[in-house]
Amino acid sequence: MIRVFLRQSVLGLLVVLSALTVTFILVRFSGDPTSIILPQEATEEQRDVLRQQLGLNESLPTQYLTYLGNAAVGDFGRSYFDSEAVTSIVMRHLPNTLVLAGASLALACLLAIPLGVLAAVWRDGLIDRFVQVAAVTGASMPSFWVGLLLIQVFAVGLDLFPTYGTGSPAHLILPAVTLAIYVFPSLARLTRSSMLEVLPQSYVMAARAKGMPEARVIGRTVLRNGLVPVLALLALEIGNLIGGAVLTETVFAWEGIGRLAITSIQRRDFPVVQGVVAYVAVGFVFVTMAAEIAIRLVNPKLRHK
Amino acid sequence: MTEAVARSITRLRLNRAVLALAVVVLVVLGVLAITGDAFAPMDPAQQSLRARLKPPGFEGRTGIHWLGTDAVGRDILSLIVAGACPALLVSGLAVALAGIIGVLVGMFAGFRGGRMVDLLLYVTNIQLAFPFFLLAVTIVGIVRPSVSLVVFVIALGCWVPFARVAYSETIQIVEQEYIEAVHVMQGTTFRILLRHVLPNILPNIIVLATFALGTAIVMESGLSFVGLGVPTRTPTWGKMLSEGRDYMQTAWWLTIFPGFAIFLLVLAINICGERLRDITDPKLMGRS
Repeated sequence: MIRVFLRQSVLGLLVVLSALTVTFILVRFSGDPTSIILPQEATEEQRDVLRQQLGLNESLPTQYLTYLGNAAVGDFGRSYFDSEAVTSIVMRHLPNTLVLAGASLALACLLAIPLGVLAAVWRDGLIDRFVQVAAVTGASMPSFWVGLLLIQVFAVGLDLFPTYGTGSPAHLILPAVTLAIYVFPSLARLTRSSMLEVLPQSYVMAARAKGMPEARVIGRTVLRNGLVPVLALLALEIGNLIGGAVLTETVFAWEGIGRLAITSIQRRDFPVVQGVVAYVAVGFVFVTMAAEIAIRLVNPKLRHK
Repeated sequence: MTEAVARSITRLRLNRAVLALAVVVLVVLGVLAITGDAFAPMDPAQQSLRARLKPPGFEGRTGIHWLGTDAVGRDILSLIVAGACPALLVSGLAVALAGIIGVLVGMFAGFRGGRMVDLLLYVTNIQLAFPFFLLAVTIVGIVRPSVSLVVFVIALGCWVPFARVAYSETIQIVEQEYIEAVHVMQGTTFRILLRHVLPNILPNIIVLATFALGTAIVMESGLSFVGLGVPTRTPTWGKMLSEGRDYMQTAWWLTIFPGFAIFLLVLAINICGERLRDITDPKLMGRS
């Protein structure tokens, strides 16, 4: 357990370091930031003063180390645009993304796991066919188009929900459904196939042979074993979800960090972009670590590996 | 019993029909991608202020706009036809690049073992531990989009499964006796990998490539949607969707049809991928 934890920590550190390094390199080689911040008619002296302030006259390794040092204490500088501290901008947008991701993940799990289980139990039945068709169809639809379709039908056509924006629970429904549809296929398929692997095991037969009611056999014996890989996938899905949130938030103008990343990229507000990437990397490292530990708690077999 | 048999025969027929349809869709879109806008009913770049935002079936001066017109009066159907090329070309190139690099790296790691394996696993783990689309928009956004950069970034997002599968299959194959025989005959590493390992792993790689193509198309359209796609003369499908977003209240056809084109293409690819997987590994039939 401790070795797993250590290995995950090292990997996590490397993930964050790579994310920081990649964004540092990209931003440093993308041109002179003073041309973005200052108006065109600024004099060369004004530019020099700003360069001095931003530390751009130092050598590259020094800049890199200062950047890493500042990042370690959560200082990513200030937005080029309104000179607000990057960390406070990110923290303002983060809760919205967490709400959206949480709601859609809950929705996806509520639908995908029971359907996946039933599809495996009644293999080739009606539910199974539905799950298979829904999974292939869902996996083929770009998430932003699903969002646009939902807006077209439920917001523009039926006028049930607001078209876009953040705020009320009504604003949350369409983006959450969009992201849930995005996660559903892989979740339902994996639940189904991992159930199918457990069902023919001899311990399942033994449970039946001793007269355990079928509902309990499925609910206890099969589910507990079959859901382990699903749990592992969920951790990866959260990363997928954040990636998907970039587009979904853009479609619904949801004020989360995905949309923040896109708008900052579009107006070349690089400190904010670096901040978003770094915070997402850190958050994701913790999620993966938590999942690794959770899997070992659920399945004692893995605890000593 | 006979009823069950009858049912499975119907299902088989249905599956075949769906597959045939998917192949037809793929061939048609493939031909459109190769011929550019030669089959477009009208010039896709032709704007017309009089025919702005006209609904499907509107009869303009140059003919009937079957799928309507966009905000500057371009024919949607012609734009979709012209958009097949960037969609398939960019993602096709990206998958080819990802496949070649991934397979080479995976085969070498499987053949050499040792440090290379550790390195491969570490690098792929680091990459999988980050939401890729965010990385993609960051890279393309900061460097500014061009065809080669978008291809490179999408390839970066697709290479991991190729490397992992190539690696895990290669370590099994290199233990076979016929590989030992090549060693005895002093065959080079290059010869072993290319003549003996590659043909064995190729079927699985082709299946992977099919699914990767679907993913790449979705990724490409997503990048275009946020304005970070390849620069083209007429808008790509993803760009059409983002342009249509401003007119959703009045002109639904701007967002329905281009998105449906992406959906149809990716669906056809995924259906073919499923079938290919069943062929290469009959044991898995209907399992996943």
